[in-house]
Amino acid sequence: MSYFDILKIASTGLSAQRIRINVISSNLANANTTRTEDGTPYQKREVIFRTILDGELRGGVRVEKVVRDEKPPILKYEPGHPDANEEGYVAYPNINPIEEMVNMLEASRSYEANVTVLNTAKQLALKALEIGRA
Amino acid sequence: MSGINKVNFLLPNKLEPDKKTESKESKNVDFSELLKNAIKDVNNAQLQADEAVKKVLSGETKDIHETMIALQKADVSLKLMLEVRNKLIEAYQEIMRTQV
Repeated sequence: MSYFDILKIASTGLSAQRIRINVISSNLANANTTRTEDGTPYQKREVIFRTILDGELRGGVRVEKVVRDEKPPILKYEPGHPDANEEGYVAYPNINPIEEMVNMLEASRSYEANVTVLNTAKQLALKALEIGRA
Repeated sequence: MSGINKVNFLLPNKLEPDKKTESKESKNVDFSELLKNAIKDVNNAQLQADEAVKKVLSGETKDIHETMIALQKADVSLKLMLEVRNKLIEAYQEIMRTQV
């Protein structure tokens, strides 16, 4: 397991968390979207992670797929809304912005953690080079 | 002679005699060749970093971290090369300082 493997693994983590933040940003942006291509309110998206195992020790992570959250939409009584149904209720996306913010925080912390791993690996390599400098 | 210990314990790999003959074939690689290959690797890392920077500037890659990692790889391998060079020069100077 070479030093560069650490970089590779951490880089998969960074990529995965970046995609996750992308999805979260899409969720937040569409938190009030009542119209999508198929006429239904926007559904919350979530990412599924999977390890990439390369031998017993080397493992990275990748985004397996992005799934839709099948929770029912939030109904709000707004009779004047063009998308309201016969009873005057509008179906809003099943997105809780607070929840999304928390997820984003977690994703960004996770990203930072991966960056820390990278820096630690680099520092270790540079420290190892100092062995010869006696 | 049997009372004298072999110097093997000083060697990092404690090579067994039978293993020695085996590994001799692979050890026949020229040191200069080894060095050349190492330098080539370092150069490749630099070129990769160059490519990564180009990609990120042209907007081809969206992952900035890939670029940074390529840069860091190039950086660390260059530092390793410098360290090896310093050691070589040091050894050379040590030899030049030898009293004849």
